[in-house]
Amino acid sequence: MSDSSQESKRWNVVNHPVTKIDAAALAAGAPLFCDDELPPGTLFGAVKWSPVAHARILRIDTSKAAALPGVQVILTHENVPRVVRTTAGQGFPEPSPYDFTMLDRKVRFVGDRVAAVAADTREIARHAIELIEVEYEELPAIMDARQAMADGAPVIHDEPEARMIIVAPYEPARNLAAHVKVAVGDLQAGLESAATRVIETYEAHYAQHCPIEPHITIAWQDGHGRLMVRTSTQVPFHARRIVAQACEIPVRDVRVIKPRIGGGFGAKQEVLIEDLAAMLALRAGRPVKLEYTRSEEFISARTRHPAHVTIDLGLDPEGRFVGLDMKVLLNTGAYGAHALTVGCNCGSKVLPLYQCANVGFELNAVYTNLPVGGAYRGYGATQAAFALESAIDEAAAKLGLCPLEVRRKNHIGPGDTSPIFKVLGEGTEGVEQSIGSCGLSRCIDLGAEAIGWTEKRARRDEGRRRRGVGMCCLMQGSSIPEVDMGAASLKMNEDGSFNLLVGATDLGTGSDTVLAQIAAETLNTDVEQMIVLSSDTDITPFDVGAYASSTTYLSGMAVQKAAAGVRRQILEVASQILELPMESLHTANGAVLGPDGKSVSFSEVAIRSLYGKNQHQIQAVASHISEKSPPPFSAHFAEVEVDTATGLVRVLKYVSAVDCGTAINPQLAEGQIEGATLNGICYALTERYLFSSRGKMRNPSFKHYKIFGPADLPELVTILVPTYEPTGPYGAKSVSEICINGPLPALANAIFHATGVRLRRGPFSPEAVLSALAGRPL
Amino acid sequence: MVEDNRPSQTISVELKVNGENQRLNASPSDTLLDVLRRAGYASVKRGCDEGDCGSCSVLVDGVLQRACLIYAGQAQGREVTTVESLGTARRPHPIQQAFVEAGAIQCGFCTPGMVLATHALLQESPEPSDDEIRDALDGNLCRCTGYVKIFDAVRLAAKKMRKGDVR
Amino acid sequence: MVTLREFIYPSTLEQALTALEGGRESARALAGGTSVIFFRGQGTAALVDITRLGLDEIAEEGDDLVLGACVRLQRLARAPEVRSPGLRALAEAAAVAGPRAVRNVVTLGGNVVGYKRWSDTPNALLALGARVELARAGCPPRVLPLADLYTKHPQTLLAPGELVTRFRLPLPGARVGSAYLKLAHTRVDYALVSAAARVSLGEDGQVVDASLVIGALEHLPAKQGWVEGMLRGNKLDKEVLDGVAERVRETLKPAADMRASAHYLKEVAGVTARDALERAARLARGEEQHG
Repeated sequence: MSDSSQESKRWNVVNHPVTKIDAAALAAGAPLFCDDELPPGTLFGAVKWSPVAHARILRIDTSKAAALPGVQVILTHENVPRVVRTTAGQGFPEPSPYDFTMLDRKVRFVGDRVAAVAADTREIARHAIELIEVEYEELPAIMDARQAMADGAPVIHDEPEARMIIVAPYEPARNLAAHVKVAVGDLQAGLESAATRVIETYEAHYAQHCPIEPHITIAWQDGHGRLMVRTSTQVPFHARRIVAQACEIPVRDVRVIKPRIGGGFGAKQEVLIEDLAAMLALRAGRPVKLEYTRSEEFISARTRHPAHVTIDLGLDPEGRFVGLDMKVLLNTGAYGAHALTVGCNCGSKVLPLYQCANVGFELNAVYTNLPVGGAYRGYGATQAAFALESAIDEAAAKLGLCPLEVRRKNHIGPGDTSPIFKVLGEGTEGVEQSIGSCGLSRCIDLGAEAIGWTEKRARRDEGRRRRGVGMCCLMQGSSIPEVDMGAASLKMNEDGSFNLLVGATDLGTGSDTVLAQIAAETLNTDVEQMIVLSSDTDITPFDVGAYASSTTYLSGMAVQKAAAGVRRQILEVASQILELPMESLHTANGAVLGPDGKSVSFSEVAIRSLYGKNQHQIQAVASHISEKSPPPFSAHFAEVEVDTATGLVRVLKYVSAVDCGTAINPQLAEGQIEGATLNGICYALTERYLFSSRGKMRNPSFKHYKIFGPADLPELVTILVPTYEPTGPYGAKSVSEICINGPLPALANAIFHATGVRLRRGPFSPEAVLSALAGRPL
Repeated sequence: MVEDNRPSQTISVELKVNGENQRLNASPSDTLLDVLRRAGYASVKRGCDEGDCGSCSVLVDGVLQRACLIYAGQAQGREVTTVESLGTARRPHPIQQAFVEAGAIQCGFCTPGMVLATHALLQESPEPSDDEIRDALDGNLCRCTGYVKIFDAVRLAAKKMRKGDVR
Repeated sequence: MVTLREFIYPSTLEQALTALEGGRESARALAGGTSVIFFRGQGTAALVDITRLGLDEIAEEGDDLVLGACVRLQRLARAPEVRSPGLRALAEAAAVAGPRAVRNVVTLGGNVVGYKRWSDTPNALLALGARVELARAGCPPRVLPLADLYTKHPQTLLAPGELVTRFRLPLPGARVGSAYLKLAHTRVDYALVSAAARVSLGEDGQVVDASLVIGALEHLPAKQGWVEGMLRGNKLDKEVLDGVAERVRETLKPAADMRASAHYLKEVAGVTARDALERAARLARGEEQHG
C-alpha cells in the first residue's frame, strides 16, 4: 500500500483515470466495427447446423441449393481440405486436442457444422442452407459428463487423426479429452488428521459469453491474391496461423485485421468462423461476410465448460487447512478446445490461495454430445472457486467459526509460495513463484466493513423475506508464465507524437488506453501524443492476444521497454542539440530538460532526427515474457434477500475489493471489476442452458437466456486496494477476469446465511431455491 | 454499404433521417434496421435482430424504439434519429461527452443505443431519479460495464444538459 | 404462401376497415408491429398501419373509461386516468410489459389481439371487467365482454377484417383496489406467473366483490371465477388469503414451461395470487396511495 501511494505521486499518467482513447468515436457511433463497412460485391455466408447430437453423415445433396439463383459457393466435407486441428486460439503448439476439421463426415452436437454457403444475399444464403439435404445415421449420444467414460459409452472422436500435439494424456477411445493428477505432501494423512472434513460436489453450469456484437468475419483477396481477414477476434496472430493451417495456404498469404471489437470475454479467443469465411472467399473469388445470429451464438459458439468439482477439505480444530483434495470432472462438449488448460486452471488458480501442506488435484475432461466449452473469463477458476469457497463456508459452519476468520487464518500472503505453482501449470508443469504483492488481507478488511459484516452476520431473519451475507476470496493470474509473449513497437513522429503499434488486442477492455498510458508515462509525455494501432498482423508486432489476464501485465511491460528504448534515443538526439551529456538529461512534459534549465521539445528532437543531422527514425521494438504470473487477489461480499415463498433471490448489495497491483487506469479497472462482477451475479442467478432430452438448447435467445439489464443492477461497491507488483509495469498485475469468479460462492454462502439452505449447483433459480428450502434440492 | 441485391418486389419508404429527407428502397419484409444499416447509418447496431438487446435503438418521432422490431414500412413519413445526428468524436453532444467522461464505454457496441435511450429520457425528465434511469434504460443490454458507469453517465449528462451545455 | 407486398396508411377508420376487408391473407392490421414483425413478411399481402387513425384516446365516457386500441403501453403505464387504485392493475401491467423501447410501441389492442401466454395487460383488463369494441367494414360496431374474446385465442374469434378499436373499463367507485404482480427472473422477462386482482370492499372492510386472473400459466388468461364467491362477505385476513392460494394451486393446470416445473409454477401461482389480492385490498383501503 505505502509503496504505491508514494509511487503514484511521481506518476503523471499512470494511475490516473485518463479518458479511454477510443471512447469519443464510439460514443459518436463511428463506423469502427467489422460490419460497418463492406467491400464492394460482398457475398453473404451462412452455415448449416446439425439438428442431431451425434451422427454420421451418409449423404449430402447440394443440388437444389446449387440451383438456387444467387448461390455462389457451397462447402461440405466432400470439397474442403481435411485438416485436423483445434479451434482454440492458443499459442503453438496448442495444448488443446486436434479433433476438429473445417467440415467433417460426422456431427457431434446439435449445432455442429454440416455445410456452408456464400450467396448474393443473406436471405438467399439462408434459403440455400435449407435446401441442402442431409441423410444422417444417428448414433447413441452422451448427454451427461458422468456417463462419458462408462463402459460401452459411444466414442465421440473415433477418427484416427484425433491427437494431442503436446505430450499430455489423451484417450479419445474413452472420451477422455484431458487428464491431470498431481499431489503434494501426504494428502491421506492430512485429511485423516482433520478435526472436520467437508466432502461435497459442486456443479458449475453452462453459460454463454454474450458479447453484444456476435462473431463476424469478412474475408477477401487483395489485388495480389493475399487473403484479408477482418474479424472480431481476441487473437489476431493465432487466427492468422489457424486460417493458414485450415485453408492450407502459407501464413504470408494471410493478413488478419482486428477493428474495434464488440466484446469478447473469451468467446473470441476461438478461431470459430474465420476458416469458413476464408474458404468461402477463396472459392468465390469475392468478399464474403459471415456473421453469427444471436441464436447461433448460443447454439454453435463456445461456452463455459460445466464442471462437477468434488472437494475433500480437512481442517484442524482451529480452522487451519490440513488436507485439501479437488477432483474436477469437466464437460468439454463435442470438442476439446481449452479442456486441458481450463481444467488445470481449476486447480492452479484456486488451490494456491490457501496454505496447506497436503494437497491433491485430479482432472478428467470428457467429451459429450453437448455444446463445446471454450475460453470464458475466469477460465476454470470460476468453476473451482465456487466449490472451494463454498466448502470453506461449510467447514466453518461445522466448526462454529466465522468463515471470514477461517480464510484469514489460511490465505496466502506476501513472500509466501505454494507448491501448486510448481506442479500445476496450463497443460504442463507450472512455474515456481513466490507472491510479490498481496493485498488480500486489506481486501477482506475493507470489504467486510463496506458490507457491514459483523452486525449483519449476527442477524438471523425468521419471516418470509430473509436477509443474509456471505463472502469469498479469489485469486487469478497475470499471463501464462514462460509461455505468453507480448511485443510493442513505438515510432516517433515530427510533432512529438508517437505511433504505438501493439499486437495486444483491445476488445473493449480499454487496453489501448492502458498501454498508451504506460508509454506516455515512460516518455513523460501526454496520452494524446500516442496514436495506438491494435492489431493488424501485417503491421503490428506479434502478441499472443487478449486472454489469460495478460495484456496490462505482459504487453504493458513490452510497451514500457519499447518506450524506454525510444526515450534513450530521444535523449541521444537531445544531448547533441543541447550539447550536454546524456546522463544529465531527463524528460518532462514532452520535452528533454538539462540540469541548467535548458530544454528541447520532443518535436524539436524529432525534427532534428528526421530532417537535421544524422537522420534516423527514432523507433524501438520490444518483447516481453514473464517468469511469473503474479495473482491479483479479491474478497467479495454479498448481501441477499431470499423470498422463501417464491425462492426469488434479490442481491441487495455486492462488494468487490480487489488488489490488482497498481491500477494503471483506475476508472477502467473499476469498469472491469463491475462488468465481471455483474456477469458473475447473473451467471449465479439467471443464466442457464436448457436442453431437450436430445441435446438441443431450448432457450437460444436473450428472451429466455437471461442476462441482467440495467433495471436488475444491485448496488455494486468497488474497492481498489493498491499494491505494487515488482515484476509488472508500474506495479500492475491484472484485473479483467478475477471478479467473475466471486458471485457463485459469495451468493451461495449468503443464501445459506439467510436461510440455512446450502446450494451446491448453479444457477440459484427461484425454483432451485424453493426446492432446497422444501428439502428437495433440484 | 451493399448488403444485397434487391428482390423484384420493392417498396419505397419516405422518411426523414437525422433531419434529411430520404427515400429508401426496401424489400417489404425489411426491418428499419436493415434499411438504416444499408443506407450507411452504422451506429445502429445489429446485436440480436430480435428485439432483445437494444443496440439498434433509434428515435422515431422522438420516441425510443428498436429498429429491428419494426418494418421499414412503418417508418413511412416519420422522423428517425440516430446517434450520428447528435455529435462527432471531435464535437460530441453533452450526452456523448458524459458517457466518455464517466467511463461508461468499454466495447462501445451498445453505446449508441444507450446514448439515445438517455436522450429520450432527458427530453421528458431533465432531472431523472435513479428509478427513472433504470426504467428508461431497462432493455438496453451491456455485457461489459455492469451498468454502474452508464448510470453515472446518465446523471452526468443530465447535469451537463441542465447547465445548458448544449450546442 | 402469400408474401408481403405493400403497406397501406389509411387516415380514417373507414379506410382502414375497407383495406382490411379481405381478411388475414390479403391484409392485416399493423399497430406497434412487435409481434407482426416475426412473420417476416409471410402470410399476408398487405399490412394496414392503423396507428394514424386517432385510435389513441384515453377518456371518460359516462360510467366507462374508454381506451383506444392504439394507446401505447408506456403511455398507459403513466396515464393518470388509470393510476386510481381501482384501475391501478392495468397501469402496473403496462409498466412491466417489456422493456421501455418496446412499451413505447406496443399498443393495448395489439397486446390483446396478438396475445401470447406471457402477455400482461390482457390479464389486468380481464380482472377489471373490460369490454371491447369491434368494427368491421359494412357492419355496425359490436361491443362484448373481453372475456368473450378469450374463450379461445382472440385472433380466432375475430371475424375476417374485424378490428379492435376501443376498450371500455367500468369506472370504479370508492373502496376499490386492484393490483398486478408478475414473477419473473429479471425485470425484462416473460412472467413465470402473474396475477391481476381487483377487490371492492364495503364500509365494514368486507369484500363486496372480487376478481382474480392468473396469467402465463395456462394457454389463456385463467380467470378464477370462484374467487368472488369465496371472498364475498369475508375480510381478507391471512386465513382467507391462504385459502385462495391453496385453491389456486389446486385449480390450475400449468402448460409446459421449459423454465420451471408444473409443481413450482402452481406453488408460486398461489403465492402471487395471494400477494396480488392482499395488495389490491390495501389499495382499496387507501393504505397504499403511491405505487
